[in-house]
Amino acid sequence: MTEPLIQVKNLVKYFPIYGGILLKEIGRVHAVDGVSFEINKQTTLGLVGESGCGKTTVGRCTIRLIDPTSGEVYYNGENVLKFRGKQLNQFRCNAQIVFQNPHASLNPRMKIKDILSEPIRIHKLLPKNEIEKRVLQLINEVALEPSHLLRYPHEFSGGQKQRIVIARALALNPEFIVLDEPTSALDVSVQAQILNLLMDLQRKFKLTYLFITHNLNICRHISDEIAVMYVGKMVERASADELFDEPLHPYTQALLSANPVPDPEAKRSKIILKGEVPSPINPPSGCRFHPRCPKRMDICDKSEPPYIQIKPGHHVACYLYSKNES
Amino acid sequence: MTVNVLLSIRNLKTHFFTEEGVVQALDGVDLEVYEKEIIGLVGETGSGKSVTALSVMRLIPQPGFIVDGEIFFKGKPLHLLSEEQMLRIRGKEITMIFQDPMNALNPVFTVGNQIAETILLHNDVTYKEAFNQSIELLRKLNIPKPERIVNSYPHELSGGMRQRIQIAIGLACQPALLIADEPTTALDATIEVQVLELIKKLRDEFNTSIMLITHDLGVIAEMCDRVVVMYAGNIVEKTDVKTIFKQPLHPYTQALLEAIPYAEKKKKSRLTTIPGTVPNLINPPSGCRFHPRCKHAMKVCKTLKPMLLEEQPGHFVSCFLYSKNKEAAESKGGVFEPLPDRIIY
Repeated sequence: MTEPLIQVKNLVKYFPIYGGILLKEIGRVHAVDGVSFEINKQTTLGLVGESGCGKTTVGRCTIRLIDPTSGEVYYNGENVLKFRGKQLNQFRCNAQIVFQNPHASLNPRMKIKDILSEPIRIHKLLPKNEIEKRVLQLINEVALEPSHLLRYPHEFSGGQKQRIVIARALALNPEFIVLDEPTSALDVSVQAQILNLLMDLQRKFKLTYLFITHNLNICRHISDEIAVMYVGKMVERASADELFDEPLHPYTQALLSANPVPDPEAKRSKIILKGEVPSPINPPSGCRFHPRCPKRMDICDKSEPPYIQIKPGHHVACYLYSKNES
Repeated sequence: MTVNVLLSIRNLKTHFFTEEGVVQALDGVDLEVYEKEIIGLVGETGSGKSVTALSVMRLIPQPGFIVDGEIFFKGKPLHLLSEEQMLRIRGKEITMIFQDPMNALNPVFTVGNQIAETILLHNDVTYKEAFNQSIELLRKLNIPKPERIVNSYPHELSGGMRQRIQIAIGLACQPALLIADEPTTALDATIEVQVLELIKKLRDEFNTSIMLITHDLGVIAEMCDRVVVMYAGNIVEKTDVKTIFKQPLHPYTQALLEAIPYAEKKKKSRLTTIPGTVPNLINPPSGCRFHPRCKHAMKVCKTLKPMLLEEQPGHFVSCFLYSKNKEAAESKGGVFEPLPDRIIY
């Protein structure tokens, strides 16, 4: 049970910025700057952080939608970045992604039937006469009706579209699904339906999820482990309960205290951070959080704190917790 | 403490006359805003929160019209005013801040210019005085280096800063009512707290009433004094903030509260869901608009429309489950039996 399905080691992704008359490279967006984590089989890792912190880039790198600048991604112990040809095709079947905006993820000119059967046809998973049966099965899995198969995407609401996107991701019997903010475009009542569906599917098909979100409440609900990112770095990773009960990194603490709780009588001391999220084009020196950190020390702007394990399963990158402050 | 009604909306109906049919975006909204209070409007997409706000501002886009109802602001009937009279109220007495600060600011003018413009329009001052006032205003809002910020263009500022500029424009003439339409939805969590704290402070410093439109019940819990829950163009429940979270009466409010994943709730448990989706307002369900999704639906819910009645002191709810509406419906011959064979998908 506890063997990792996905292992990411020191993942780095820079996006070049071109400018000037000759369109030379004039800078780099440090989208992801040295991120390591692993996801165990049949568990969910929640990835939280503010916009621009690199969560989506991490998600896309792990299933190789984009190639990282450096670093390694292992799937079942094999290096994904070395996959070629057939092996890569097989990996594409095993790893799927669900995007944030369901309206933009479906081709408006295709019927739902065609949308769901397309991946099966491309990967030649089933003979032609069995595809229809599989499509019917898929539409049942996501609690839609067979009559919906002949419709076009614009005839559906946002929640139904997201169900179709999930059904399409399931079409190839994947083991690993990256969920990139699957509910942020949806209303609260529909969001609960989708979250329940995702949890049911995980149990039924033994799926492993990487759940990317900026909503901490949702993240705690669905995740086994939570990783917090800040400007391209992972600052803390722990089991969901531990992270909420005992956040160590000052950024995690601030993020948790900023999380609005639907209870008017909850008395909480809020940590209000000063300033803005820095730009990943020119990130601060040392610890990237130091300009906003309420517990800043002298060393923080000089060198980067190491990402270390404090307790079993609890990693943090902060000088408050590293023993040798050299 | 005497409470004075600042804004009162009576039976407001705003419809949009589109090619596909008449969208009944608001279907009889009753609402009042008291002085110095923060009132929260909460609901899902298409529930009519924004249309309510735009109706008050008389800024409903074509082809929408206020077809019925009254809006009184400080005793003045806003629904009867001419466009010229309305211009004098907008920006001075009632202001609005929008969800997306990038689209609300003009990209070719400096922000100082845009704040000064509002002051200049409603006050008898020179441009220079107005510009200096805008620096003062930014200082009051705790914006660092206001002298530098006023000379920058919107694209040079971050999302949170732009939202603060919008708030500054909104407050430039010290309005009596500020309508904030999802002011923090486009912002990150740590910036969201900053902006919410700022809005809270304003109420105390400027004595402004604030109508806060949001879909986030967490924000409601932290900010508001009273809450109005809307569903498909109707107000389903209206009460103070503590009661709404402790003792919600309407089945929609109850379901909505149960559907939010709570950080404190046990994880990996199933969330309670509301079956179905928000109805199409061109052809809304008959009777109570929530009845196709309601687990308590009765025959009467399909035939009669519940009214927003005061069930407990200060607690208004529009549902046939409660005594006031029940009595009213019984006199009209409503049948209180469960609805047979409902299809919910």
